[in-house]
Amino acid sequence: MELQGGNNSSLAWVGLHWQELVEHYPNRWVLIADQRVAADAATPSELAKRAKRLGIRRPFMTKIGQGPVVWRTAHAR
Amino acid sequence: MPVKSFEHVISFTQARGEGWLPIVNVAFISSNGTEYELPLLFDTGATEIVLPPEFAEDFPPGTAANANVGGKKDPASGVLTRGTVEFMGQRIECEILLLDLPANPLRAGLFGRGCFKPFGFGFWESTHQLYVTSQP
Repeated sequence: MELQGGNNSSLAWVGLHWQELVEHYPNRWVLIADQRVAADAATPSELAKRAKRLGIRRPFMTKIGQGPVVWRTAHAR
Repeated sequence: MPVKSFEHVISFTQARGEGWLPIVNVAFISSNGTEYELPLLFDTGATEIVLPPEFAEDFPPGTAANANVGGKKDPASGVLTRGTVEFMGQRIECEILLLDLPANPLRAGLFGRGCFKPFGFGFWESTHQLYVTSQP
């Protein structure tokens, strides 16, 4: 059985630090590597190019928003 | 009673104070050779992968498409294109809808049903785990 996720993944790190990320990188795309923000950029393509220069073949990227994150969703009306 | 087996288990991601979310890492392989991984929310309500329009340059020009969005009365306008993704070691061609999404650090987009066919899924809310097989 192969396990994805868990405490050591980049995603779990974002989950633990997302409030700090919102404070420090509003409206920016961030590249997470080795449990830290390795680079940030305004667009995903710019960030992918920076990752290539850093020698990271398949970077993990996500966008940090600005303001409160809204989680609740509802589809039925 | 059918018995299913799974080769992979994906742990849900904890969002501080907001519970556990079924987020999956999906790799995108663009036509120019660029590769990156994005966290996508596993969403059976989405018909295909949904990404924000900022990714348009990484995929072929698409066609205009409307989509129903939760919480909105009128359909939202987007662009439907195609791309190569890798999930659980399998490369597949999927439709990708480029649509405005509110930014959220834990999910860059949605992983919708259009990419589900090569896989089988088991959803365990109580243990915060998503089980996946590549041999459904």
